[in-house]
Amino acid sequence: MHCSLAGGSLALVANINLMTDENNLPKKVAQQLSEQDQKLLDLLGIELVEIEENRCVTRLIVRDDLANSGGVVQGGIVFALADQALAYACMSCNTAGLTLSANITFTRGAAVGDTITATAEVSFDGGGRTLTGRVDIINQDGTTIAEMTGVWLKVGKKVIDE
Amino acid sequence: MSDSDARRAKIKAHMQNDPWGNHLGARLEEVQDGYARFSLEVKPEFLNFHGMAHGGLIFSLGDLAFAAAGNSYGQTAVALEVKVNFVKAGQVGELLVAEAQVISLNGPIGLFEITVKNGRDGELIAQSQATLYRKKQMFVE
Repeated sequence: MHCSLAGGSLALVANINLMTDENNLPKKVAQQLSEQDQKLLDLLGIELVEIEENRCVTRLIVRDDLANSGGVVQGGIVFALADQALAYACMSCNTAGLTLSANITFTRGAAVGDTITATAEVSFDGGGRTLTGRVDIINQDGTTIAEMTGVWLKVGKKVIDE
Repeated sequence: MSDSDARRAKIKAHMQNDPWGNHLGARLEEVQDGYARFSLEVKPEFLNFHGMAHGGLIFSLGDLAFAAAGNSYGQTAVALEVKVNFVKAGQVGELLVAEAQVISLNGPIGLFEITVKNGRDGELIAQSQATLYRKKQMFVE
Protein backbone atom coordinates (compact mmCIF):
# COMPACT_ATOMS: atom_id res chain seq x y z
CA MET A 1 0.00 0.00 0.00
CA HIS A 2 1.99 2.97 -1.25
CA CYS A 3 0.56 6.39 -1.60
CA SER A 4 3.58 8.49 -2.48
CA LEU A 5 6.84 8.11 -4.36
CA ALA A 6 8.94 8.89 -1.34
CA GLY A 7 7.51 6.52 1.22
CA GLY A 8 9.28 4.80 4.05
CA SER A 9 9.52 5.11 7.77
CA LEU A 10 10.80 8.18 9.50
CA ALA A 11 11.15 9.20 13.07
CA LEU A 12 9.76 12.60 13.82
CA VAL A 13 10.35 13.38 17.41
CA ALA A 14 8.57 16.50 18.57
CA ASN A 15 7.65 17.30 14.98
CA ILE A 16 11.10 18.74 14.27
CA ASN A 17 11.95 16.37 11.44
CA LEU A 18 8.57 17.04 9.90
CA MET A 19 10.00 20.13 8.32
CA THR A 20 12.80 18.44 6.40
CA ASP A 21 11.61 16.00 3.77
CA GLU A 22 9.47 17.89 1.30
CA ASN A 23 8.78 14.89 -0.91
CA ASN A 24 7.36 12.71 1.81
CA LEU A 25 3.59 12.89 1.65
CA PRO A 26 2.73 11.26 5.01
CA LYS A 27 5.11 13.66 6.74
CA LYS A 28 3.72 16.70 4.99
CA VAL A 29 0.18 15.64 5.84
CA ALA A 30 1.15 15.03 9.46
CA GLN A 31 2.82 18.41 9.66
CA GLN A 32 -0.33 20.16 8.45
CA LEU A 33 -2.56 18.13 10.78
CA SER A 34 -0.39 18.65 13.83
CA GLU A 35 -0.33 22.42 13.26
CA GLN A 36 -4.12 22.39 13.26
CA ASP A 37 -4.21 20.03 16.24
CA GLN A 38 -1.57 21.76 18.32
CA LYS A 39 -3.85 22.92 21.14
CA LEU A 40 -5.22 19.44 21.65
CA LEU A 41 -1.82 17.79 21.37
CA ASP A 42 -0.54 20.20 24.05
CA LEU A 43 -3.57 19.62 26.27
CA LEU A 44 -2.83 15.91 26.41
CA GLY A 45 0.95 16.10 25.92
CA ILE A 46 0.72 13.88 22.82
CA GLU A 47 3.93 13.48 20.87
CA LEU A 48 3.99 12.27 17.29
CA VAL A 49 6.74 9.66 17.16
CA GLU A 50 6.55 8.09 13.70
CA ILE A 51 4.50 8.58 10.58
CA GLU A 52 4.61 6.63 7.36
CA GLU A 53 2.10 5.36 4.85
CA ASN A 54 -0.86 3.84 6.68
CA ARG A 55 0.94 3.80 10.02
CA CYS A 56 1.42 6.25 12.88
CA VAL A 57 2.88 6.08 16.38
CA THR A 58 1.88 8.51 19.15
CA ARG A 59 3.08 8.72 22.72
CA LEU A 60 2.33 10.50 25.96
CA ILE A 61 3.47 10.51 29.55
CA VAL A 62 0.63 10.15 32.05
CA ARG A 63 0.55 13.46 33.92
CA ASP A 64 -1.32 13.63 37.21
CA ASP A 65 -4.05 15.71 35.57
CA LEU A 66 -4.69 12.88 33.08
CA ALA A 67 -5.56 10.39 35.80
CA ASN A 68 -8.85 9.55 37.44
CA SER A 69 -9.54 9.70 41.16
CA GLY A 70 -7.76 6.37 41.60
CA GLY A 71 -4.47 7.66 40.11
CA VAL A 72 -5.01 5.53 36.99
CA VAL A 73 -5.01 7.04 33.51
CA GLN A 74 -8.53 7.95 32.44
CA GLY A 75 -9.93 5.78 29.64
CA GLY A 76 -10.56 8.84 27.51
CA ILE A 77 -6.86 9.67 27.45
CA VAL A 78 -5.94 6.23 26.15
CA PHE A 79 -8.73 6.54 23.60
CA ALA A 80 -7.62 10.03 22.52
CA LEU A 81 -4.01 8.88 22.07
CA ALA A 82 -5.12 5.87 20.03
CA ASP A 83 -7.67 7.85 18.01
CA GLN A 84 -5.02 10.43 17.16
CA ALA A 85 -2.64 7.74 15.89
CA LEU A 86 -5.45 6.10 13.90
CA ALA A 87 -6.50 9.43 12.39
CA TYR A 88 -2.99 10.24 11.20
CA ALA A 89 -2.47 6.72 9.83
CA CYS A 90 -5.76 6.89 7.94
CA MET A 91 -4.98 10.33 6.53
CA SER A 92 -1.33 9.58 5.71
CA CYS A 93 -2.17 9.23 2.01
CA ASN A 94 -3.69 12.74 2.06
CA THR A 95 -7.30 11.65 2.43
CA ALA A 96 -9.21 13.69 5.02
CA GLY A 97 -11.76 11.85 7.07
CA LEU A 98 -13.11 11.04 10.50
CA THR A 99 -13.66 8.18 12.92
CA LEU A 100 -17.04 6.55 12.40
CA SER A 101 -16.78 4.03 15.19
CA ALA A 102 -14.17 2.54 17.45
CA ASN A 103 -14.05 -0.39 19.81
CA ILE A 104 -11.49 -0.20 22.60
CA THR A 105 -10.63 -2.98 25.04
CA PHE A 106 -8.77 -2.05 28.20
CA THR A 107 -6.47 -4.81 29.39
CA ARG A 108 -4.36 -3.07 32.05
CA GLY A 109 -4.24 0.25 33.84
CA ALA A 110 -1.46 2.81 33.50
CA ALA A 111 -0.31 4.94 36.42
CA VAL A 112 0.84 8.54 36.69
CA GLY A 113 4.40 8.74 35.29
CA ASP A 114 3.97 5.84 32.86
CA THR A 115 4.72 6.36 29.18
CA ILE A 116 2.06 4.99 26.85
CA THR A 117 2.58 4.47 23.13
CA ALA A 118 -0.10 3.89 20.51
CA THR A 119 0.77 2.25 17.18
CA ALA A 120 -1.96 2.54 14.56
CA GLU A 121 -2.09 0.73 11.24
CA VAL A 122 -4.61 0.73 8.45
CA SER A 123 -5.67 -2.91 8.35
CA PHE A 124 -8.03 -2.75 5.37
CA ASP A 125 -8.28 -0.33 2.48
CA GLY A 126 -10.37 -1.59 -0.40
CA GLY A 127 -10.16 1.72 -2.21
CA GLY A 128 -13.64 2.77 -1.15
CA ARG A 129 -14.76 5.39 1.31
CA THR A 130 -14.12 3.43 4.47
CA LEU A 131 -10.96 2.10 6.03
CA THR A 132 -10.49 -0.12 9.02
CA GLY A 133 -7.61 0.29 11.38
CA ARG A 134 -6.21 -1.26 14.50
CA VAL A 135 -4.24 0.33 17.30
CA ASP A 136 -2.04 -1.33 19.91
CA ILE A 137 -1.43 0.66 23.07
CA ILE A 138 1.49 -0.38 25.26
CA ASN A 139 3.27 0.94 28.34
CA GLN A 140 7.02 1.57 28.75
CA ASP A 141 7.59 -2.15 29.48
CA GLY A 142 5.94 -3.17 26.23
CA THR A 143 2.91 -4.54 28.05
CA THR A 144 -0.37 -4.08 26.23
CA ILE A 145 -2.73 -1.79 28.13
CA ALA A 146 -5.43 -1.51 25.46
CA GLU A 147 -6.36 -2.55 21.93
CA MET A 148 -8.55 -0.61 19.58
CA THR A 149 -10.17 -1.23 16.22
CA GLY A 150 -11.85 1.52 14.30
CA VAL A 151 -13.79 2.31 11.16
CA TRP A 152 -12.74 5.43 9.33
CA LEU A 153 -14.71 7.41 6.76
CA LYS A 154 -13.00 9.36 4.00
CA VAL A 155 -14.84 12.62 3.44
CA GLY A 156 -13.59 13.06 -0.13
CA LYS A 157 -11.23 15.94 0.58
CA LYS A 158 -7.47 16.26 0.70
CA VAL A 159 -5.62 17.43 3.79
CA ILE A 160 -3.04 19.40 1.79
CA ASP A 161 -2.76 20.58 -1.81
CA GLU A 162 -0.47 18.37 -3.85
CA MET B 1 -29.38 13.39 56.34
CA SER B 2 -30.18 9.68 56.26
CA ASP B 3 -27.48 7.02 56.09
CA SER B 4 -28.18 6.40 52.43
CA ASP B 5 -28.01 10.14 51.65
CA ALA B 6 -24.67 10.39 53.46
CA ARG B 7 -23.37 7.41 51.53
CA ARG B 8 -24.58 8.89 48.25
CA ALA B 9 -22.82 12.19 49.11
CA LYS B 10 -19.59 10.28 49.79
CA ILE B 11 -19.78 8.47 46.47
CA LYS B 12 -20.49 11.73 44.65
CA ALA B 13 -17.56 13.49 46.37
CA HIS B 14 -15.27 10.63 45.31
CA MET B 15 -16.36 11.05 41.68
CA GLN B 16 -15.92 14.81 41.71
CA ASN B 17 -12.32 14.29 42.79
CA ASP B 18 -11.29 13.28 39.24
CA PRO B 19 -8.23 15.23 38.03
CA TRP B 20 -8.86 14.69 34.33
CA GLY B 21 -12.56 15.53 34.58
CA ASN B 22 -11.75 18.67 36.54
CA HIS B 23 -9.01 19.61 34.07
CA LEU B 24 -11.58 19.47 31.26
CA GLY B 25 -14.13 21.41 33.30
CA ALA B 26 -16.65 18.54 33.28
CA ARG B 27 -19.47 18.75 35.82
CA LEU B 28 -21.14 15.81 37.53
CA GLU B 29 -24.82 16.75 37.34
CA GLU B 30 -26.41 13.68 38.83
CA VAL B 31 -25.57 10.22 40.06
CA GLN B 32 -27.95 7.46 41.13
CA ASP B 33 -27.56 3.71 41.39
CA GLY B 34 -26.57 2.65 37.85
CA TYR B 35 -26.97 6.09 36.33
CA ALA B 36 -24.89 9.25 35.98
CA ARG B 37 -24.95 12.47 33.97
CA PHE B 38 -21.98 14.74 33.20
CA SER B 39 -21.87 17.95 31.21
CA LEU B 40 -19.04 19.83 29.52
CA GLU B 41 -18.66 22.92 27.38
CA VAL B 42 -16.59 22.43 24.19
CA LYS B 43 -13.58 24.76 24.44
CA PRO B 44 -11.40 25.77 21.45
CA GLU B 45 -8.58 23.49 22.64
CA PHE B 46 -10.91 20.47 22.40
CA LEU B 47 -11.25 20.72 18.63
CA ASN B 48 -9.67 18.54 15.99
CA PHE B 49 -8.32 19.60 12.60
CA HIS B 50 -11.88 19.72 11.21
CA GLY B 51 -12.85 22.28 13.84
CA MET B 52 -15.20 19.81 15.53
CA ALA B 53 -14.96 18.35 19.01
CA HIS B 54 -12.25 15.67 19.08
CA GLY B 55 -13.45 12.09 19.39
CA GLY B 56 -11.19 11.66 22.38
CA LEU B 57 -12.97 14.50 24.16
CA ILE B 58 -16.42 13.03 23.48
CA PHE B 59 -15.16 9.65 24.57
CA SER B 60 -13.69 11.15 27.74
CA LEU B 61 -16.96 12.82 28.70
CA GLY B 62 -18.88 9.59 28.10
CA ASP B 63 -16.25 7.68 30.05
CA LEU B 64 -16.66 10.02 33.03
CA ALA B 65 -20.40 9.30 33.05
CA PHE B 66 -19.71 5.58 32.59
CA ALA B 67 -17.22 5.57 35.47
CA ALA B 68 -19.65 7.41 37.76
CA ALA B 69 -22.59 5.16 36.88
CA GLY B 70 -20.44 2.04 37.10
CA ASN B 71 -19.03 3.03 40.49
CA SER B 72 -22.34 4.39 41.79
CA TYR B 73 -22.87 1.38 44.04
CA GLY B 74 -19.71 2.17 46.02
CA GLN B 75 -17.99 -0.88 44.57
CA THR B 76 -14.79 -0.32 42.59
CA ALA B 77 -15.42 -0.93 38.90
CA VAL B 78 -13.05 -0.70 35.93
CA ALA B 79 -13.88 -0.48 32.24
CA LEU B 80 -13.33 -3.60 30.15
CA GLU B 81 -14.48 -2.48 26.73
CA VAL B 82 -16.19 0.46 25.10
CA LYS B 83 -17.62 0.54 21.58
CA VAL B 84 -18.37 4.08 20.49
CA ASN B 85 -20.24 5.31 17.41
CA PHE B 86 -19.89 8.95 16.45
CA VAL B 87 -23.00 10.17 14.63
CA LYS B 88 -22.75 13.97 14.67
CA ALA B 89 -20.09 16.62 15.26
CA GLY B 90 -19.82 18.65 18.47
CA GLN B 91 -19.12 22.36 17.96
CA VAL B 92 -17.14 24.87 20.00
CA GLY B 93 -19.19 26.63 22.68
CA GLU B 94 -21.75 23.82 22.77
CA LEU B 95 -22.72 22.15 26.01
CA LEU B 96 -22.39 18.37 25.72
CA VAL B 97 -24.32 16.12 28.07
CA ALA B 98 -23.25 12.53 28.67
CA GLU B 99 -25.52 9.99 30.34
CA ALA B 100 -24.62 6.46 31.32
CA GLN B 101 -27.28 3.93 32.22
CA VAL B 102 -26.90 0.39 33.46
CA ILE B 103 -28.42 -2.26 31.20
CA SER B 104 -27.34 -5.37 33.06
CA LEU B 105 -25.41 -6.35 36.17
CA ASN B 106 -24.51 -9.98 36.45
CA GLY B 107 -21.84 -11.02 38.93
CA PRO B 108 -18.71 -8.99 38.34
CA ILE B 109 -19.72 -7.89 34.82
CA GLY B 110 -21.84 -4.85 34.05
CA LEU B 111 -23.22 -3.69 30.70
CA PHE B 112 -23.98 0.00 30.20
CA GLU B 113 -25.26 2.30 27.50
CA ILE B 114 -23.69 5.75 27.16
CA THR B 115 -25.04 8.64 25.13
CA VAL B 116 -23.49 12.03 24.47
CA LYS B 117 -25.99 14.64 23.33
CA ASN B 118 -26.09 18.29 22.50
CA GLY B 119 -27.37 20.06 25.64
CA ARG B 120 -29.37 22.61 23.62
CA ASP B 121 -31.64 20.40 21.52
CA GLY B 122 -30.81 16.91 22.73
CA GLU B 123 -29.43 15.78 19.37
CA LEU B 124 -27.35 12.62 19.59
CA ILE B 125 -23.60 13.05 19.05
CA ALA B 126 -22.27 9.66 20.09
CA GLN B 127 -23.58 6.42 21.51
CA SER B 128 -21.58 3.68 23.19
CA GLN B 129 -22.03 0.25 24.58
CA ALA B 130 -19.63 -0.51 27.39
CA THR B 131 -18.76 -3.31 29.78
CA LEU B 132 -17.05 -3.12 33.14
CA TYR B 133 -15.63 -5.41 35.76
CA ARG B 134 -16.59 -4.97 39.40
CA LYS B 135 -13.83 -5.72 41.85
CA LYS B 136 -14.49 -7.14 45.29
CA GLN B 137 -13.39 -4.00 47.07
CA MET B 138 -15.79 -1.21 48.10
CA PHE B 139 -14.42 2.35 47.98
CA VAL B 140 -17.40 3.52 50.06
CA GLU B 141 -18.85 1.05 52.58
